[in-house]
Amino acid sequence: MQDDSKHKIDKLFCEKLQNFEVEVPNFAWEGIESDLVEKRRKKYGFILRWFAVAATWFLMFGLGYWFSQKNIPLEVARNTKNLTSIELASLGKKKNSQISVSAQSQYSQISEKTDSTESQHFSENKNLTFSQDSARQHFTEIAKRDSIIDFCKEISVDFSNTLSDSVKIKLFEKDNFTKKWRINAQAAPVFALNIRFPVQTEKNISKEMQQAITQVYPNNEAKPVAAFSYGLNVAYQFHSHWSFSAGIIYAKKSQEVERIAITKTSSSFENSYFTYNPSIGRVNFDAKNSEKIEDIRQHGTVYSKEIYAANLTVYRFDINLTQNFHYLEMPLMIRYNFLNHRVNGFVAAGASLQTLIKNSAFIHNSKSEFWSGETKNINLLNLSGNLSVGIEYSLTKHWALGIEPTLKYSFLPLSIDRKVYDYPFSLTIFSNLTYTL
Amino acid sequence: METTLEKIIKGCIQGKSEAQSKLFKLLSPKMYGICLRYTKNTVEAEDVLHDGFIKIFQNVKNFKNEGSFEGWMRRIMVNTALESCRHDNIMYLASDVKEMKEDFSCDDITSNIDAADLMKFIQELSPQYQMVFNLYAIDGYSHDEIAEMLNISVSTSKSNLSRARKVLQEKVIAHFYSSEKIKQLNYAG
Repeated sequence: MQDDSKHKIDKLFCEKLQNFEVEVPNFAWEGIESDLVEKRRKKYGFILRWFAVAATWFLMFGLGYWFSQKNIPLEVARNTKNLTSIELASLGKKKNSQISVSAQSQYSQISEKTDSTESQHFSENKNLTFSQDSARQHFTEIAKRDSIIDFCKEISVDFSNTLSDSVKIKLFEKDNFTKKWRINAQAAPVFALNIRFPVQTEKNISKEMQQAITQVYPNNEAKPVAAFSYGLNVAYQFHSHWSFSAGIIYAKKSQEVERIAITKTSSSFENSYFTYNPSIGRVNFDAKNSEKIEDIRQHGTVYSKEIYAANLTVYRFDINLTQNFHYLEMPLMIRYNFLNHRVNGFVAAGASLQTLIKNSAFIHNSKSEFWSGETKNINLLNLSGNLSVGIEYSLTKHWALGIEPTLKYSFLPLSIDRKVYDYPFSLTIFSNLTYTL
Repeated sequence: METTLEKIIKGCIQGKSEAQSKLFKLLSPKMYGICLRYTKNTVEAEDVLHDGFIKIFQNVKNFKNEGSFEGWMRRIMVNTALESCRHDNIMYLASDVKEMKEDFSCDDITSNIDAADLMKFIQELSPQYQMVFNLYAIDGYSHDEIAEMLNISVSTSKSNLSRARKVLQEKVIAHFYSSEKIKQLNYAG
């Protein structure tokens, strides 16, 4: 009997509902269509973004390589003070032949032939059969006179073409570049900002909800609140201009809205409310917090109550919602030093893996806090592209102070909620204390 | 010779928006009916319908002509509804329901009740009863399949089905008697 009644229930529902058709609201297709277009756009946008990152890196490496490999005319090189050594050699076997001058920059060999001003000076001495000591003295004087010594790390004279034995006299040598490690402590204020794609409040939701949200937040975007960041990184300078760095950084990002909407989506009062923040998404209340919602209703100024549909009522309150996101970031950067003096200037580019370690949200006014909880549906992992420009002042041989504004752009939206497409970027102005080993 | 549906499918595979629009117009009322069965209200159903159709359009190229296209779409809609349910963390077990005393045997009951009422009854079920009843009684999945889909045991699936039937039986009978009462009052009046 019981089995029979079970089957009857199944049969009843199956017959009536298996192919039951319900008229679909008109806006449903519009939402799907715009989402399909958006997905297509995002797909290509994603490829373009990575292409842009790859192109930037390629450009930076390319420019660096080009500058380092470029043969600079000797005179120009001298003026730019990039040379590390001058090498002199006679071109012919005879004692009176002209002397060629070659100069060694930090990165490449530069050759200049006899007619250069330098070679004229060196060729003044027709007799090259002097001792190494006198040669050293003679050429050092010439080098000093021509200010060559200022920009050379090494000056040597090669007599291999003149004398029967190959003799290369090193006249002068400065310290060569050595690879070194740096440890860098950073602290900074963070200004979190958002770029919204597309620039609209919300999409693919019911027409009534769209209307409600648009009216609730006409000009009430989330405002960034200054937060902070600090961390450590270790850099390895593998070249006089280039270094790699990796580190670990804690960053807190905050934003605030001054008006929240509490939306009632069904007849059930207890579990049908949530607040809505257009930048980040929903901050859901659960049933346990229904009494706190009452608290908010009592303390917040009710701006309006609007009924948009039978199951959709939106209450608007002038009360603040603050959302905090705490990240642990692991940046990997490549840096190019373009001054390399006591005051150094540099640009750096790279990426950070960001892990959300905590997120919190508060509903409050200037006096009290009424609710605390979490923002739902936030991406736990993100990847950002970083770009920074900075200056650094060497206090001593080992210690330096610097400032490094850094722009970070996240490649993934902050929220995994498909209704919100926010790609947050942040401006972090790091103060750096650097110790060079 | 290609049927209209085959042409539409071909167009969807090529990403033509006109074909996508036609497919939506053709099958969305039926799909929306499924979405309503697996959700609590029209807002949630619209969300599932939206997500389901996006998946359909993105994966239509993977459709192999094994079985009907509509059946394939139904499976996507059902899976999307289940994902949405899991995403919202509402897959909890509801408390035990009271045992029903009445037997469900009157044919008048089944003939006089309309689909909209039945839909309402299903939507009022606790989420897990709703899922299990829909999957087993209407969409024809076995308990083994349901257990795998909902990550529950086969015995839990059976027990949920049994309880869902009882709740629905109660609602159907209550509805029948209340409408009978109204009729009698009308006659008396």
